[in-house]
Amino acid sequence: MTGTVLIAGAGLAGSRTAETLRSLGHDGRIVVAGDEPHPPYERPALSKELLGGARDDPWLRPPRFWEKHGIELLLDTSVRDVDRARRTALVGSEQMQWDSLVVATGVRARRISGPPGIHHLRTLDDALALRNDLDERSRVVIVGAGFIGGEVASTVVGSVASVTVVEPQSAPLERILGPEIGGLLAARHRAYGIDLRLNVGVEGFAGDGQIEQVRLTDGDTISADVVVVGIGTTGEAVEVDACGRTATPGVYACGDVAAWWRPSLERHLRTEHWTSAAGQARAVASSIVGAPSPYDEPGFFWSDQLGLRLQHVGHAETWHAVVLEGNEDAFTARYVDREGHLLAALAANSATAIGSFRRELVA
Amino acid sequence: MSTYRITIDPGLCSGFGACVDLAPALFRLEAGGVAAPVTAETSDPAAVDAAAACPMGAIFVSEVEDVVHAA
Repeated sequence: MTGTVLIAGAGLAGSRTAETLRSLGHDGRIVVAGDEPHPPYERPALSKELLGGARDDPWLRPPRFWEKHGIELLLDTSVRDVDRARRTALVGSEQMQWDSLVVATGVRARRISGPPGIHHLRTLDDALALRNDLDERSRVVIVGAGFIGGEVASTVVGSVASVTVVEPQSAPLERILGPEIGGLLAARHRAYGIDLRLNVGVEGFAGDGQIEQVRLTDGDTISADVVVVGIGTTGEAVEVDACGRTATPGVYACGDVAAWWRPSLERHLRTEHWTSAAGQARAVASSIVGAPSPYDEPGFFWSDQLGLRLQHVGHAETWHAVVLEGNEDAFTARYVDREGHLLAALAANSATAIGSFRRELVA
Repeated sequence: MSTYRITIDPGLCSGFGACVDLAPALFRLEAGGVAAPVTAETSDPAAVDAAAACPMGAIFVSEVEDVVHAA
């Protein structure tokens, strides 16, 4: 198996595609181009161990791994001027001919601009800059009570002066987990000493050379030294089939950027989960070596926050009922349709429940 | 041929089962819902794939150096 594979993007999806190609016996040239200055790293660690200072080396593989496996890792390098007909691209300053192109460019954080002191959390450099800006005197305001907001709040509370979380919905993670679990998480935020402001948005920021205040849509203002914005991501999706193939032969996509065809859901679905990125990368590598195998696994993600390990499997935008079991420190929630079929499930500090939920979903 | 040593962190393992799907000869799910290696050491490189696929990062696979007895 030969031929040049050009992989645009050096996150989990891109780098995992490269290493899986090698383990499946592809012996042609593999080029991975990433626009960040760092080798592939574990993004989930940024809002957890890295921000908390427990870890400084979030690398997916040891530094010499890539060279050892003959994978050309080009950092600070973007892929431009892709010509799908001639199969060429400009990689950094090199005009490259490719046989297979993998789009694994991910998504970007939705950003808000304002005075210095406003942070986002998407890249390793974002996380290091935020960590650098925090100390025990910091009054921290977090915009958005999603996964990033919840994990950042949970990581920094106790080691900074104060933490305020501003969320336009009526509960944290309400859209994904529903009002019942959202309410439980809200109570938990407050029990941890976090000032949680719900049903309110951010009107603007004030500060002369440095952030000083956050103005809310209800007219209130909050003093702030550090602001962390976690309001989701943005980017154009690339549609692929269940094996990661676009409509153009030789062009594939995987990871956060991919709108992946899910036979079991009968629709394309874009997910931003570690597990999907890893599974899709494997599927793309298999397609490239000529052994396509569809990937149609239920989505899975987990988050450590406020003393809870939250694990979620499946995908549900709407549901008929939520069936709760357990107590506020260890519980499960089943999201079911009208017939009682499982659509998605959450386990909080109930680790081994998630495996059986997953098996129920794929049955 | 390399030999791999497999260990599983029971505090991280959630019995998700990705390892059993990828390498059924090397992993099984225990009655309590967590995964366990069928064998502590193997030469099957599927162990490495299974570790990489674990969403909780609970599987550790280390390459065992060939033991050379010095005189």
